[in-house]
Amino acid sequence: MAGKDYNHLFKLLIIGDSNVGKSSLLLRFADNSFSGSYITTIGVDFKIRTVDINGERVKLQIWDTAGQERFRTITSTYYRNTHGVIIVYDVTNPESFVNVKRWLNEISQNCDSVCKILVGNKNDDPARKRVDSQDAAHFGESVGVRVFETSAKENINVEEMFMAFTHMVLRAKKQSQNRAEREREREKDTVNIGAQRDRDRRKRGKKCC
Amino acid sequence: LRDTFFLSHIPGLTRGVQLSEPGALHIILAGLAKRGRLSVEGLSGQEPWEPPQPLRNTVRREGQEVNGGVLEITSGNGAEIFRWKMVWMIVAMMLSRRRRAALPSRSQRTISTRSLMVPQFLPKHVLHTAASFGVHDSAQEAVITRDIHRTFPAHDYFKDSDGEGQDSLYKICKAYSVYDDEIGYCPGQSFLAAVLLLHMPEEQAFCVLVKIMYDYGLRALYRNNFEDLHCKFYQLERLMQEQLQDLWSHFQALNLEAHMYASQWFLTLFTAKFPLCMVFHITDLLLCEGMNIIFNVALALLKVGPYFIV
Repeated sequence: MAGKDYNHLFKLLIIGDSNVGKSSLLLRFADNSFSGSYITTIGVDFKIRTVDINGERVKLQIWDTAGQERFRTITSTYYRNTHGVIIVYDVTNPESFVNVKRWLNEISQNCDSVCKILVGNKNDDPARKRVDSQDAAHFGESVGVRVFETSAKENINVEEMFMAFTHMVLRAKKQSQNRAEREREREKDTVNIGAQRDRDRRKRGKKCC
Repeated sequence: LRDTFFLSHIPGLTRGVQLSEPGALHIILAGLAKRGRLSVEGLSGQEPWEPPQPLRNTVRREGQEVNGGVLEITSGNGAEIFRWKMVWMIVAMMLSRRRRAALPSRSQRTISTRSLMVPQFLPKHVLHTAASFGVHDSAQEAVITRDIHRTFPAHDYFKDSDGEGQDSLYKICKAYSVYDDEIGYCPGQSFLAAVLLLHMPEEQAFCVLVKIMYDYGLRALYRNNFEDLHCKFYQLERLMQEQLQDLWSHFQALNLEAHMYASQWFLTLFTAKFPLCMVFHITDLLLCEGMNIIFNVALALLKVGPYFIV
C-alpha cells in the first residue's frame, strides 16, 4: 500500500441494551442501508468508513457490540484503545434509557477518558415514543454527554450524529496533542540543573584525559 | 424450491447435501474454471466424475436448469452472493479433499443423524420438560423472544413473527432454557436450533440440540464466563501461528485477536452468517466428527479469506 490514505484513525464503540438498533445505526452510517430484519449480534462486528472533516481524512473503525447481558465479559475487552463510545437507547423503550446509567458506569470502569455521546434511536413514530426528549436532554446535561435522537430506519439524524461525534473525537485528540506539546515546551524552558551538572562533569572528565 | 435456495423443510428435499457430494462440487468448480472465473489447484488432477443416474436434484437458476445443485441464495446483493459462493466452494473443497473418505454418503448420513436422537436418547423427563414450555416461567423469556425475531429473518420459514417457524424455534429455545438451568438460553443458540428445525420436527430438533450442547461440548463454551471459549481462541491463534504465519503476523500488526472475529463462529457453530448450504455442510461435519472440526473450518475460512478481503 502506498502510504496512509487517512490523517486520523479512530476506533469508536457502539454499546447499549439489546435490540435498541445498534447494528442498524452502524449499517445506516456505513452502507446507507436498512432492513427491518437483522440477525442478532453475537460477540462483535465492525465496519469502516472514511469521512472528511475540514479537509482532513478521518478513518472511522466502528465496533458494534452485542447488547446482551451474557456477553458483557467478552465485550469489556473492546474498550481498549477506544477513542469514542456511542451509547444507544431506544426511545420507545424506557428501560433501555434507564440502563444508560449502567452503560456509563461500565465505560468509566474500562476507560480513563473517552468521548461519549448518547443516542436515542427509533425516533420515527411520535405515537410510540416513550422517552421524552426533554428528559433525555436533562439527563445528558447532568452527566455531561451530548444527546442525539435518530432513526436508522427513516435515516433521520444518523449522519449528523456520527459527524458531530467525529468532530468531538477529533477535537479531543487535538486538545490532548496541544497539551502534550505545551508540556514539552515547558520542559524545554525548564533548566534541568541535574542534567547541566552532569554535562559539566562529563566535560571536565574529557579535559582530564 | 427456487425461492428458498434449495432448502425447503420438506423431508427429502431438505439437506444441503448436493454440494457435500464431491461430484457436484467438482462440476461447479470445473464449470467456473472453464469460464475462466476460477483457477483451482489440483482440480485438474482429479479424475472426471460421472453424474449419478438420475441426478437427485435439479435446481432452477435464472430460468435455466443447472444440474448438480447450484445454490440459490436469496438475500444480499449479487456481488456478495458471488463472493460467498466462491468462499464456500473453496472451503468445501479444502475440507472435503482430506475428509471426503471419512464422510458418510448421503443415505448413510441421514441415518447417522437420525441415530443421534430419539428414542434411546430421549428420556421421558426431557419430553416432559419440553412439553411444559408454557408452565415453567423462564426468566430469559424476553431474551429468547427478542432473538427469535432476529434469527434467519430473511428465510421464508422464519420470517413471520407468528409463523410456524418462529413458534417452533421459541419452543425449542424455551425448553432448553428450562432443561439446562445452569446455563439457560445461550444467545446464538437460536441459529443452531433453526438449522436443526429445517431438517426435522421440533421434538427431534430439541433432542439433537441437547446432544450437541452436552455430548459435543458446545455447552462448555458458555460456562464460567466463557472460559473454555477463550481457551479455544487461544488454540485457534496458536494454530494460525503455526499454519498461516503470514496472516497471523498481519493480524498481530492490526491488533486483531481471535475473540473479535471468532466469537460468533464458535458460539453459533458457524450457523449465523454463512449461506445455509455451507452451514448444513459444516453441521454435518460437526455431527460426524465432533467439536474439533470448528478449528478446521475456522482455519479454512481464514485461509480463504485473504483472497476476498479487499
